[in-house]
Amino acid sequence: MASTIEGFDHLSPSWNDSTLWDAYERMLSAGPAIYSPLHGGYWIISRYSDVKAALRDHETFSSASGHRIPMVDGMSSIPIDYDPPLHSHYRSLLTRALTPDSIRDLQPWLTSMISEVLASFHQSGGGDAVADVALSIPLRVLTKIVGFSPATVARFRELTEDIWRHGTAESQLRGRAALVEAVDRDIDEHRARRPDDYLTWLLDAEVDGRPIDIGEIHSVLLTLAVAGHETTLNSVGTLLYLLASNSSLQERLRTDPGVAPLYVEEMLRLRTPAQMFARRTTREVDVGGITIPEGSWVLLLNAAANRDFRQFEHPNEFDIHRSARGHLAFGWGIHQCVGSALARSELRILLETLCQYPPITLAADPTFTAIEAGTHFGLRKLPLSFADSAPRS
Amino acid sequence: MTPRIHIDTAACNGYGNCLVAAPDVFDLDPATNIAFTRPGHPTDADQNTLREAEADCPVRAIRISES
Repeated sequence: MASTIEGFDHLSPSWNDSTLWDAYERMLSAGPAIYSPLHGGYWIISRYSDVKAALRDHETFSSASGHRIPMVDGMSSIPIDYDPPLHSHYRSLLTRALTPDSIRDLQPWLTSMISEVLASFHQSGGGDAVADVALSIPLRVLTKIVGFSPATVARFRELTEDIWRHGTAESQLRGRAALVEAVDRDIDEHRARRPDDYLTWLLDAEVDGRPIDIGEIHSVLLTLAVAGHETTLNSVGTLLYLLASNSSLQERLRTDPGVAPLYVEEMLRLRTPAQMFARRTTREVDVGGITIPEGSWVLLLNAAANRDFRQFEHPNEFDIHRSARGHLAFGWGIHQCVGSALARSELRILLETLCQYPPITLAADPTFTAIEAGTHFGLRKLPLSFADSAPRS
Repeated sequence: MTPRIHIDTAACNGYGNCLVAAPDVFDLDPATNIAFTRPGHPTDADQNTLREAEADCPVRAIRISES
């Protein structure tokens, strides 16, 4: 059993929907902490209670060396790659863009924007739901929430893909530089015109009692640009895939769109879009009887933990009646996703709005991604069509 | 002994982990996103989940003591 785990390489381009979940299941049985000699050597933790304990203990499991294995110098992101106290200062810069009040006020806009996206998708008779629906939604949200121009966000997907395409340090740094160049145009425009939005607010923000510098502004904007669209892209794609490939699941939702939030939580648990994050130990630590030395890289498999039978009964089944409470899809502890309330709203509204249209079905086989950027899993292509061509009146 | 809950509202950052650990006891104020305890709680029966809520708070804003 353990030998099948030895080859586990989160960066392998060969992962897909049929191999990935099996690997997690083997990992969960193999042991509480497994050592992999790949990528300079790292430990893998997959069980729910161990992953959660590590996420809670941010002093032992530090983020200051980065959240990816291997981590490239110069690719640090605010606030995910920092420990307190700097982490807390940086995090508050992002929460400013995503307060509960602002998310609540955003609901009518989200509803009309998502209706527009789905109406256009339906009018075309379907198509690739990844490109036409899943990507469209978060990119439009970024213009609304941050103040990026539509021209800038239109480049985000392409530039983000460039960063991770070759996986080398050079390509990551080159991709990052291109992204910085893109957001610089918006920064200049905001400095000149000063519209009343988050980006203008950020330009004048203070960190730790001093003015924020341009490197920090870039990092915050890149976090919002990259984290803000890859995660939602994969969440939307995965939800649409689940519905299109399971007619009774879709029928259940259409009978009572009020259950949409349960669909969202169960999708997040079962097919966690942001699958894993790295930490580095600041001291020797015991994980389930196994000693991990100080200074070790550790990969926390949130997606596997969400399928741990010790925590969730029949973990591989999609069951909206279970309690998915406490799933680790948004992380846990001080680095917990800042955008979770926004994501939940977007996904709920998407499902509710979808019920106003005829049922969706798979028009061809979908294509899954590998674990992109060492973290993200979802669909690359999802050809969908509608059961008939006219919207319900 | 009925436990007592102290919430440091200045520290609370609205993570909501306490709601996950003890949904009967805690809620978040929709306007401020700050945690509060539901009327009638805590009770003796809440005991088990309270320690979990205390441990799960990322900013250590919850303290449980015996009255």
